Amino acid sequence: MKQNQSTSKAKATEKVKSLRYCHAATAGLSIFCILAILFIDNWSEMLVWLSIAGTFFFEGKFEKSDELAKQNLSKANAICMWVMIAAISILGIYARHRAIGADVFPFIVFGSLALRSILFVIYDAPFGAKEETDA
Amino acid sequence: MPELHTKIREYRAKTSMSQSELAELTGVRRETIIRLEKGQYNPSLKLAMDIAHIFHTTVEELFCFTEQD
Repeated sequence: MKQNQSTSKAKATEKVKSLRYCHAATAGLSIFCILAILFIDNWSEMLVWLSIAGTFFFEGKFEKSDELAKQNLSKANAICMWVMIAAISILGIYARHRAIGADVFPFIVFGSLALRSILFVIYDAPFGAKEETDA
Repeated sequence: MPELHTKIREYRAKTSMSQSELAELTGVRRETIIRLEKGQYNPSLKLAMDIAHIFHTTVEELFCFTEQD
């Protein structure tokens, strides 16, 4: 016997922006910065750090309370962390024998940001299921 | 290994509720509801109870494990 319960009030939720678009933009921006480091002389450090700050600023504005999004982002963060550790370790070993330019570090930073966002987009990719109103 | 099955789609059909509407009521994205229905995501206890509350049923009725041979 079903309990008589009052109709559940719809939760007031603000419109959820797409995290996937945010991370796709982050990946694109990070790759752009890497290419700029490679091909543009007199690379502006201010632009580099502004890009990084902008990434976190825009990501913070999007709704992240969805538990599946948190889980997917957590998986992406974990893989990215280990890749970063491996990259820095290899760099450290390499640096013992040869001089390394300062441009390598923005590579690692932007590469990590791009990898994290790309992984999130992959994990969170929709299955192409269309809206279903009937079973 | 037992597999998790959900009856969310059946209950949505009974109440003529779309995935988007259910997602909005529970405060998650539609993609989360899609994966739940496909059995590709294990919800948190809170989400499971919220969905059960919306459909006026129990968590055990909505989610069940079936043994695979």
